[in-house]
Amino acid sequence: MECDEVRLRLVRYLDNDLPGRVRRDVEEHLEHCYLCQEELNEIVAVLDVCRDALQHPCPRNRFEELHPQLYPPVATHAPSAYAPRRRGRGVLWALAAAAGILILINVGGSVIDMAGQLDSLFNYAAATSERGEVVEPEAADMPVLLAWQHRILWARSLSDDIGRAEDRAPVAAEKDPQAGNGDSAYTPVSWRPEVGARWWKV
Amino acid sequence: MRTDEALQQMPDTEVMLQVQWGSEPAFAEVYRRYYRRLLDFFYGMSVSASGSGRGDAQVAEDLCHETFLRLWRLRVRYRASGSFAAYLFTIARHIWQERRRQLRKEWRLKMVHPADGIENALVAAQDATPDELSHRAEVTERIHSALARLPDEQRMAFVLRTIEGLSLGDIAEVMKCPVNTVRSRRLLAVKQLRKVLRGLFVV
Repeated sequence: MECDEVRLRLVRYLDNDLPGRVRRDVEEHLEHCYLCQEELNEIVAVLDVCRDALQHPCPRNRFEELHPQLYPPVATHAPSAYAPRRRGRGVLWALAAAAGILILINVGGSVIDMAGQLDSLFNYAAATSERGEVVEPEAADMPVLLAWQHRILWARSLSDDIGRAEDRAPVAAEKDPQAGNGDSAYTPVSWRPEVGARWWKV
Repeated sequence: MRTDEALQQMPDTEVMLQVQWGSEPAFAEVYRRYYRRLLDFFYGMSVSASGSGRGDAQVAEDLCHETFLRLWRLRVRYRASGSFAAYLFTIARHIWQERRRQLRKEWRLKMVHPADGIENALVAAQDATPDELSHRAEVTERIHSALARLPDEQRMAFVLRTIEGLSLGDIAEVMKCPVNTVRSRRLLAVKQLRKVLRGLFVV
């Protein structure tokens, strides 16, 4: 083993941290190399001086001072210094409450909107059945009524067989050339059922 | 303070298991075995934070006190799965890392210690003659000053191995790093200290 290799391993040699074979090689080299011995002695001297210099100057046993602090006083009313602090709970609760309010507003708005649509639908159905004739719905209600008509048709087509669903569906698609005032963008005649028919039997 | 002779014969882990059950004599025995080592550890680590360029004995005593208090309060968490010294010095390391920032802030407020680099220390060590530095206190101060310029990890690896005599495996457990990292940190620390201290004493 060369001097450079040995000098790299001197600290580990002092720590007894070298494998057996390497340790034997280092020891064999140190036996006949004066310069590496000097290097080793210098490291030992540095470590000894550091060991002496870094010891506490006046160590004393302070267990008697420590003993009264082993059992902290138990708090009765005031919060204890040793009680775990519950940080961030208030912020979490505020966030959860805000999220809940937003969800309520969203869902509530949808429910109110749907209730309004159903109300106009039922009003129209009631007027139709009372008079025994088809009543022309208000132009403003037409989009709602058409939308619900399509929903009902779609639901029935799921339960009925395809052929019967096709037989019923064209009724809604029939066009009445006499109707249609052009005021509305929609075509109210296209969905109109037969006279005397209930509104949902389209 | 009196401790039982039976306790004095027990290994560390068994004594600590008794501490877990709330035995005060066992805790006194743990204190007796380790307070000097913890004082030396904190004294060696505080060289970077103290304003005088030397270890701060009072800070070391306070931190040692705090370490034993935390050991007592967290005694139920102890698991006898490894070296007790590594467990205790891990607590000490956590306390040191908590207090280090505060100590450095106090040190900056004092403005006593000039912020010299490692080069200045090297030049000073080369210029000084052995006669001038023969006084023991001065040599000690130079060693502390040299150690204060080391990075915290290198200084901790050096103190734990050289002063406390912990094994490399235990130091790796305390510092939460691989054993090879401990080896390299210690080698770098010894290398820097040799550079700074060369010329301070005749071998």
